[in-house]
Amino acid sequence: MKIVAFLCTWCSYAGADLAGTGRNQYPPDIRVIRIPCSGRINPIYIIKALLEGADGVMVSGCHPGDCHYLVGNYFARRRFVVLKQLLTAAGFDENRVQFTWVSASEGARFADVVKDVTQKVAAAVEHEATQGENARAQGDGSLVLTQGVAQGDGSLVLSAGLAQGELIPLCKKLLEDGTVDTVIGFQIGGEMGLSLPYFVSSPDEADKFVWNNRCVPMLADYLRGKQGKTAIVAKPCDARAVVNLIKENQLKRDDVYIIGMSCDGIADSEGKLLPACADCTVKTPPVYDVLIGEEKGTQGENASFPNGLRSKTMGTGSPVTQTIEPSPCLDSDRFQREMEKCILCYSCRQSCYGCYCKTCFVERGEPDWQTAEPDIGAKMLYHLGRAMHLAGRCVECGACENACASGVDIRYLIKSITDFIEETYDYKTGMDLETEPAMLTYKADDPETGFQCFGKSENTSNTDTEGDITNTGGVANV
Amino acid sequence: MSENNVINKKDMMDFLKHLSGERTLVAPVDTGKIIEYQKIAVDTGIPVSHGSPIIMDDRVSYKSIKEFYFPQTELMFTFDENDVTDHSEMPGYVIFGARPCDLEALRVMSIVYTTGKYADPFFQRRFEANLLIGIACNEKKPECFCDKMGISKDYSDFCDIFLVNIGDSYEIKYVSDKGSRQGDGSPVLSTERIPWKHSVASNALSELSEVFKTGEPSPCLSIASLTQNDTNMQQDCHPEDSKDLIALDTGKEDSAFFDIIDWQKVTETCKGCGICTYVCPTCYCFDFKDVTEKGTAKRYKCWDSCMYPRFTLHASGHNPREHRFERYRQRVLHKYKYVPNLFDGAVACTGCGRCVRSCPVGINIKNIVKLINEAVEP
Repeated sequence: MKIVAFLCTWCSYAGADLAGTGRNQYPPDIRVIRIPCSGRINPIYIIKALLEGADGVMVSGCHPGDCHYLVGNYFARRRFVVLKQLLTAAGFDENRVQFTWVSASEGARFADVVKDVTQKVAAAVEHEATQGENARAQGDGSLVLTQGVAQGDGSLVLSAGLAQGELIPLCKKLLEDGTVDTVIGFQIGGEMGLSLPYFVSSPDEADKFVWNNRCVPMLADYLRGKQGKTAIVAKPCDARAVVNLIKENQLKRDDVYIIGMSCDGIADSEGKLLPACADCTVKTPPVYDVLIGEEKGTQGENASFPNGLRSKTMGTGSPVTQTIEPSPCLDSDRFQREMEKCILCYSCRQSCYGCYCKTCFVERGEPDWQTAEPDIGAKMLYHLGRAMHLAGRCVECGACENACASGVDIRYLIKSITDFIEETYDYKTGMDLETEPAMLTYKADDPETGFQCFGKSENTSNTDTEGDITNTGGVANV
Repeated sequence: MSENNVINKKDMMDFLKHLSGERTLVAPVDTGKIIEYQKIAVDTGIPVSHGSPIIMDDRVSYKSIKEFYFPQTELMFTFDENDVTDHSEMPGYVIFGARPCDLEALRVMSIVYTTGKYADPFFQRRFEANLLIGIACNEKKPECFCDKMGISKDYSDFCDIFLVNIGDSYEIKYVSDKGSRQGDGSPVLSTERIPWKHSVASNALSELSEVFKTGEPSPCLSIASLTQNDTNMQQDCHPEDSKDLIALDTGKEDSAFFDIIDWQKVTETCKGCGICTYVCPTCYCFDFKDVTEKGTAKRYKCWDSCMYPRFTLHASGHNPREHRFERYRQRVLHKYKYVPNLFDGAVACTGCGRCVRSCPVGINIKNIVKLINEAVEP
């Protein structure tokens, strides 16, 4: 077996050293890579190791509170918990990735941890193999799945007239009195009734603005790089994206004027609700300068929603598919199937508001993450890596799946961690301007869901919440 | 041999099985979200991986058939210190249900890849190995503008076998010798033979092609004939009034179009995702990638897209097409201006509407060409 072990140089690497000098025996399956801090671990390292054929990955750092760089492992902890959730959602056995803390004085513990990790990884590899066989034996599950998808009766008619009646005079006024230099909104003119993004800098052109249930494109992305003050006709997802861009210092709040649009969901060309909109719970922009339409509440059961279509389950709003939601043992099958469809055109990245890196990690030359062959491993690396980059940043607008030429449902993967972050860290992206984004902060007692807690050390007084995710909140940041 | 046959849709699978032989059958299926080409198990008639049975109505596939002639990634050869191993064995495909716009697009791609200085052996081999079954469109989709490109939705002779959907059955026309050789003798073909003039599409068809009047299979689908035919292609197949056609004045200098419209303005909503080039049936640009591995290396030919900044990025860091509007301008002018100039008038757009359908922000190439022409005329 091959297990890649990333050890922090200050604690765990020294601990491994001590295990050597103390002659503590442990299985020879680990390959050690020394790193400066567990906080230095890019989740892509772990994903790449798994995809390149490692049976397991183990990451070990200083105990929380003992970090050589004070807080590096606190950030790492959140990242690892989320990564584990993502890998599980993608169908990897959760035990193939192991996180733990080993201090420089714990040579014996290091040996015990490695023994335990080796056993668990071996069991996980076997489990995955039998799962794969089971999935293949069950065979045609995919056929049933794919046929039901489009059947949700999500037809909806939006009363656009009223909103539009307010929108045009407002935009004119904003441009006339110089409040803003440009307004970004929608105009009609696309095929199949699609509304197109429309940039206006003169009041005379404002008559063409529309607001209807075919305003599919996301506009938040256009704000970056706009000169002067810009107003945006913002769906709730657009507004959340703007808020997050402001938090990430991509925009200045003063440069944006948010015309919040109360939204019942956007329809596809056949009048059915888009899948992301069927899952959406935020019907009113959480942050706005002016709101058009009525306040609809942002959370909980929503009366204004037609047909009770909103679904708590992953991935789809269609009642048909809910009944055949893949069982946990078919998840890797689902991920594989979606990946087979992908043609790596990166349209999902380009249409995502959050993907604004100048050079995406798959296109970087050094290190060359992405192989030239668009095989399934390359696709998985891209999608898992991108999902990790969107952890705590996704506003669930569905632009990725709307843009996909191959009908890849990749949103379910990101949604699994978005939901997890909301549940675990009580953070929903872009809901206000104050809260620190979930992955950019930490709490001393953050849960360590799925962490390796074998032979828990005596000197970790401040981490007594391992494996307990209910015990969050109410504790001030360290 | 050359008469037209009618085949019931129920028997179509048997006919396809008869045709495919050693080849792999690919056909459009419904995968739940989109219509796409999938490999079909001929014994069962359902896709090998997943999806519905073969689509036999008027829904069109999201992507074109180009991947079966020009795959997204193609292993060219592997090499080590001593040897180069050629990977020239091509799996032949039987491609069912290509639309006339796709067939005409393949004609353009064939001209690019088989004539002139730079013939592409990979394309040629696939071209010879594949059997292509075209099908007429009974209705024009909202995004389609094949008529504006002078292409008929009812017929194209750039295939081996052509079908017309007439309700419960198809009319079959053997267009090439290869098609008739493969198709004849199928046990499922109806003995009843009706002439084309009775078919739903007969009016359009009779105007279109001499081939149909004589009823003889044409040798059209061969690379050798391309060079002789291509210059006449546009006039032959395009009976419509040329005033309505979407085209640029190919007689002008290239640079005359560079500032003719405010490119920045018309493409400001573009997200640069490049999906238009992936779904386009005529976009033929590619790049080489070498993958090295323990003493051996593989060379791949991969699709590339002019919509990506790296397409033109120089080693120095300079990028001649740094901005999205420059890249979009390149795409439009390449389709309507450069290819016609380079390849005797063949326009690299067949109005299939795929880029319009797939663009996440609804950019419509047709409208942009119209804008250019409006700017030229006054």
